[in-house]
Order: sequence, then structure tokens, then C-alpha cells
Amino acid sequence: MSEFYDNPNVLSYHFAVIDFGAGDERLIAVPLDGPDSASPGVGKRGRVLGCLIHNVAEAFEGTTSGGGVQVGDGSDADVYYDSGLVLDDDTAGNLDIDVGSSAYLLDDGAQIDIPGGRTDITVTFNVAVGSPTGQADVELFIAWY
Amino acid sequence: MSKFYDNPDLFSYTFLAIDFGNGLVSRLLAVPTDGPDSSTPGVGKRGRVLGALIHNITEDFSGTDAGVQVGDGSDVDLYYDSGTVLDATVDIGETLWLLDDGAQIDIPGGETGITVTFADAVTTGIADVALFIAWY
Repeated sequence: MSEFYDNPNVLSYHFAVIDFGAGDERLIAVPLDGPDSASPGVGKRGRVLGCLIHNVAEAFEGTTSGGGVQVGDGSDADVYYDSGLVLDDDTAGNLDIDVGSSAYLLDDGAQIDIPGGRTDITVTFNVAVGSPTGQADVELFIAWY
Repeated sequence: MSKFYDNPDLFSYTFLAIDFGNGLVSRLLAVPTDGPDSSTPGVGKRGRVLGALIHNITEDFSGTDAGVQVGDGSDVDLYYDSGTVLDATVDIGETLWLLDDGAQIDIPGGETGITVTFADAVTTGIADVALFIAWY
């Protein structure tokens, strides 16, 4: 059934061994309101809570800019969430992501919710720029209501 | 934003193909932080480990018993300890839900990371582990 925005269902999405040195994009189907809802079969509204970088198998490096995670609608890659290009080595202002470390990434700006009625969203793993490396598991957390 | 303990956000964490028979495996998880509209933005949330699911077993467990623990980096089972319950009765095709085995405490606010330790069996045992933590 449809939930209220202050009592959402949080779903976790696991992406194993994402190579931020090459970049990647994945599609996630939006969960639908159930048959006892006022809008059965319609895509729920949602809000990206954040994402976790863990199980780092290769240290992150980007000599020009770091990697990051975005959630979008297929035409605007970061309309619903943008971690910023913060996954890096020791560049000032970025996170030093090495083997054995972990980071939780909030949105870096004016975030908007995922509107109702969608069928899918995109998750983009931005490649770092300039001698890019970095492999890790990513857990994305979205509150659906 | 920060939430009440009775209305937490439930996060699940996936660990694929954990080899309990290959020595102690430990992973670090960054704690989710309160958002910018919270009274404590950027501070680690409080949480409670609800349990761990053992599934997709690809190698039978045998040898010294194994388990799952969550700690703070110095005390490996401070926040959760399944006990060493993964024994030779746990085989391919089975699945188990593991609760804490004793006096469990919540993860306090302000932490930056927690550790998840897969306490080793001496001989064999490979499975996926899903860990569930309620953050508030």
C-alpha cells in the first residue's frame, strides 16, 4: 500500500564491485503501489537517503576529479541525488578512499524527491578523471512512500 | 533528518560469498549521518542491529563454529553477536536468521564507522550474509 512520507519503506540496493575507474550505469525499477492502494500499479514516490561505499578492493584515485554516485531520470543523471565527485585519494576537500575504508555519502545540494508515477530511475557511477582507479561495493538507500 | 527510535530507517547490507572457512573476515561500514535539516547535521545516527540472514550457502559449514559480530573497532561484538551458531548442521540449500545472543546495546550517536566481523570456522563454510540495522 502507499505509505506516508514520514513513514516510508527503505529499500537497499546492492551493487557489487563497481569500477569507478571505468564508470557504470544501472537501471532500477521503481516499486509500485499495491492493489489496496488508491493508485494501484503506479510508481511510488521516493527520496534517496544516501549511499555507502564499502568493501573497497582498489584504492580511489583521480588526478583531475574524483568519482561519485548520482541518481536520475534517464535524461538528467543527478536530478534526484548527487554525492558530488568526492571519491578520491588525498585531494583537498575530497574523501580519501582506500582499501579497508568506508564512506557514507549524503546529497551535496538541493535535493528533490522522486515523483510518483515513474517506472524506473538510473544510478550512475561517475568515473574519476585523470588516471582514474577505484573499485568498491555500493549500497544505495531509498525511502519509498 | 534524525528520527525517533520507534520509527527508524531499516538498512540492509549485502556481503557476497563470505568465506567463513578462510580466517577472520572483517568489513568497515560508515555510519549514516543526520541530514542538513537535522538539529545535528553530519553526526552519525544511532542504530540497532536487528539480525543477520545467512543464505545462498555454496559450501557446507564444518569445523569450529562460526558467527557474525558487529562492533566499534576495538570490541568486535559490542553491538551484536550471533554467537558461534554456524556449525556442521548448516549446509547448502539452508538459510538461517541470527538474532543477538545476549545483552545487546544500541549503536550510539556520533560514531563514524562500525565493524562487521565474520568469525571464522576452522574448516569450511561459504554463504551470503545480509545484515539489517535500524537507524534513527
